[in-house]
Amino acid sequence: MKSNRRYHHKRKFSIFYYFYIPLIMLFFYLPIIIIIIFSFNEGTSLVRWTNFSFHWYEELFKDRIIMEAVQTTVIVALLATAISTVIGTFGAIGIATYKRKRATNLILSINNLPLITPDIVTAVALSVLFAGFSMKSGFQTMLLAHIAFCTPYVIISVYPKMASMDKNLIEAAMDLGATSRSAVFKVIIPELLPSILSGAIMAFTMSFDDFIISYFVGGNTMNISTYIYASFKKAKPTVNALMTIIFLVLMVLVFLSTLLSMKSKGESMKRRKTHEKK
Amino acid sequence: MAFSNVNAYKSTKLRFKMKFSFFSSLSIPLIFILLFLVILPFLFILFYSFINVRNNKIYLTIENFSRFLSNPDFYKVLGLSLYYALICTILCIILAYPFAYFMAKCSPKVRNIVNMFITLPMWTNLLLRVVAWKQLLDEGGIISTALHALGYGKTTLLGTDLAVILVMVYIYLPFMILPIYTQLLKIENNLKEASKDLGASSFKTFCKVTFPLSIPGVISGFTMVFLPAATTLVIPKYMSDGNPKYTFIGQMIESYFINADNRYAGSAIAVILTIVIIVTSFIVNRLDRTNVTDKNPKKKSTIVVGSEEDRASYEKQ
Repeated sequence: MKSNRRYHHKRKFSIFYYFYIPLIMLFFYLPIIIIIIFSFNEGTSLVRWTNFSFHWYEELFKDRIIMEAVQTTVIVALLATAISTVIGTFGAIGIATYKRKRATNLILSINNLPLITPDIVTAVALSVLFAGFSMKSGFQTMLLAHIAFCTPYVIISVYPKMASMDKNLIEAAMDLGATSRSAVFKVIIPELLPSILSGAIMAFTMSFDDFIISYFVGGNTMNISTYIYASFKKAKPTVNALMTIIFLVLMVLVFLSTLLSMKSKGESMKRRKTHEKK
Repeated sequence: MAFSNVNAYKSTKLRFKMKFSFFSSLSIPLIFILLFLVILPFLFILFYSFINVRNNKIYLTIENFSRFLSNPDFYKVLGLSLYYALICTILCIILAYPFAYFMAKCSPKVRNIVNMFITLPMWTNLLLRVVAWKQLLDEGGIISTALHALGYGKTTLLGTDLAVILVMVYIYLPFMILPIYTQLLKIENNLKEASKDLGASSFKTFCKVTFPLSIPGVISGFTMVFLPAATTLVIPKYMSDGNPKYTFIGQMIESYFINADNRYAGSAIAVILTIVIIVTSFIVNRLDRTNVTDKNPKKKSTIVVGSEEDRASYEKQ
């Protein structure tokens, strides 16, 4: 009966079912694929194929300003991720142990503020703040701004796990003689590790892709996004070469992480099943 | 005996309390960051929007607001941004719903793979994707050349509604697909089967069970697409090709802030924009409540309304 119904369902939608998802996928990937293919074109045209060459890649690596922008982006993203992950993780542990739930909720709602306001408002706010303290806009202000908008992502990733963690675990560790510090480092953090990692990945990609906030706050310090924006009028095919590299690196990373998460999910499912059998 | 027990209990409790205050103190850096880099900046724009500087003197004024609120051009820009964002959002809902629906029907393995393929372009730098589209739509790009060959007049598609909306939909579509998809996954199969066992056709089941229960996903997708689309700076800038018809609110803030270096006016626009957004999300949330709780008051616990946390986690799933 059940299988029959499922069959019925599938048949009814089959035309859409097999065409719609690939169609939208094509919409997502066609521009990217075209750009990737033509980044290997010798000429500047995006229609006429002249010759296969790595010309634009050579230009890309020769271009000092782009390389500097890439370097800035990576350094800011790494530093901001590291700092916001540490602050966010400890912060999540801290606010989860508050006695007054109201204080926890207050902090969480302040934490959500940058997530719900549009980026441009956050950008304006931070820019005004730095101007108010007459800080010269540049690398430091960019880093501070990135820490400011990355930390909330770590919190929303780590806090729910911390809140749902069994507090007896901590008590048990301390009854067995662990100091508070070793309870944090040997019990809590290992328990939270997956969500800390996913928070860190979120923070890194947010920082890596950020445009508006870096644009308002960075001054003459440019990251990849602001560099592209600054060279608005004269978009060169080197940008396409850069996109190809970023896209391919990303593809490998996302593919690996999907593979890992699928594997760990599968394993936990298996474990659960064998557990049930016992 | 009992006495000492109580004492021991008390002392462990005391110790525990002290330890927990150590844990709580771990949040001090976070509070510091939230205070100085989240709350303070918002107070600063509020403050800046009410002041102006002339002859090296700072004075309080509402000029920053009145200058925009009395200017019909400002309403035009604001209205235009909201209008295009709305069109983009509606198109996204129409395109994303069937996609999410079919995606939720796939086997878990296929689902994961499709999910991966959606997040991949989402994680690629926004500017790079928009520049890619610009090249395709501009003179000599593949799409404009193809359309030209088919007899569609213009050589460049930049500066048309088609280009602006197409790229907006391209950028924001994943933000609509993912919340609807997650919401559809949450609907229990039993409900659908019960509906069918009671004699409803597949179509009726969809209309009466699946669709109403998926509305929270649509709503959270709405806010995730509408707000960034209304405040976008990059898309109209690249797609308008200098056509002043497509000046959106984001560009207006930019022009005051960066080009004209008038922080006070820029802050005032940001404050107005924030108010508009608060009102919009309030209305949307009301819509949400009427749709979910009134129709199925008892089912409330099974429906998780898309919150800000969801929004962020979809963004970088």
